[in-house]
Amino acid sequence: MTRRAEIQGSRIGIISIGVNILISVTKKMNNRNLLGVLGCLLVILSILLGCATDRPKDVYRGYPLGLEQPESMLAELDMGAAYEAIIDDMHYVTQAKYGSVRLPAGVHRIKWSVIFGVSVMVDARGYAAYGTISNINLEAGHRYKLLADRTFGSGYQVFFWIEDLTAGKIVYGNKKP
Amino acid sequence: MEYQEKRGCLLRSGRLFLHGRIERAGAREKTALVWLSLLFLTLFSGCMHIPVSSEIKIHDPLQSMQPVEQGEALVIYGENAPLQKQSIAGSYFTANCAAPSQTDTIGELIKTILMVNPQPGRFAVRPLQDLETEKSPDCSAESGDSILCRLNLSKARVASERLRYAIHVQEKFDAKIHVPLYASPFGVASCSNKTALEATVWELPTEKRLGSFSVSAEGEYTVIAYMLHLVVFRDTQKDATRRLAQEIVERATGVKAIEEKRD
Repeated sequence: MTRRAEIQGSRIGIISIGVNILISVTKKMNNRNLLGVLGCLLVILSILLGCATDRPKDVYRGYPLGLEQPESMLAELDMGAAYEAIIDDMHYVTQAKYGSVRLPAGVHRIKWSVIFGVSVMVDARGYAAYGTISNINLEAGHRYKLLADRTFGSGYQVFFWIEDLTAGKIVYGNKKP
Repeated sequence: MEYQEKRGCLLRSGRLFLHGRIERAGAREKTALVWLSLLFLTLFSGCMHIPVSSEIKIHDPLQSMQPVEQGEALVIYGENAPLQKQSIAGSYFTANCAAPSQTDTIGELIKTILMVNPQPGRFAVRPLQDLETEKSPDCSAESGDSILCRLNLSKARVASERLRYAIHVQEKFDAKIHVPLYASPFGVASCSNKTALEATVWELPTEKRLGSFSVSAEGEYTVIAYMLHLVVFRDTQKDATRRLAQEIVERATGVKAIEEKRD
């Protein structure tokens, strides 16, 4: 007998033991109790379905390998509302994996995009992506955040802005009024 | 043999159990059982996607590319495949299996090149439309057909912005419907999709055409539905884009591109 068949056989054995236990337990129950047990199982199943947790995201290092710089010379850019960003046409960062980017202080070209859920009347996919290009000067030791918001109804507008969280001011774009 | 016996025993005991309970159950219990079965079926309905890699072919008559230096840039431009119009009924009965999965392949290629680059920060990838192209002062009537004139780039700009290679990408997407028998939530639909990406490379400082190479990806996209939708799909556009990006990175850097998906 091959290893695979052995594993399958033992799995079947375990399942049949489980089924026999289930049969003997359910035989002792009346129908009302049985429905109660099934209901509980469904509730537990639905709770388990919502158990997925958001794992902590990594920090992307936006400089070439071998050119590491001291932390005090770096600025940190929080991905915030951006779902993806291309920095200096060299680094592609996605929010699915990275929560923030560490960059050398200085001027950077950040091409970033946001996604908003919209009515299917606006876009059949139920979402719409918007992008902008920001040329900003990042200061060492400062933390920045990419932010965006939109208006609703007629005269639809999308606002992009970058906030310097350390200095508490907006360094690019306009905040939604 | 042992495995088959165990399976037979399991099936028999399950059948006897179900049969016995149904026979003993009253009308009310039977209704409850039907509702519970429906509830279970609803829990297991929805979609199960099984992504499968496409068959990829590379046609490569390209001359060798010299590896890029630190800080140099590739200029990418080209044409995405035109969108094929399909009727609403056609889309419905085929479960939209003939539709392209991405409409901006050139944009996706740029992102993918950066994603599969094993040395992020070594070179830049710039879309041509992001370069503010003005009429190049170097262009005369004789040199009007040169790559720099076509891209409206001057020699001075190529040198100052360290633009090393220009890569033109042409996408072709073709879909053939094989089985259009889907009517939600039941049925079968199947289409074959083929994406071909042809890349032509120029070295910008010397204005020399290095040649072209192409990547094609082909595969069947199948949907089988009986409440639960089983979608076996080959995303030929994505597969071809990724493979082309890997080829470009390997040729431009001389280093093996990242195979696994980083994100």
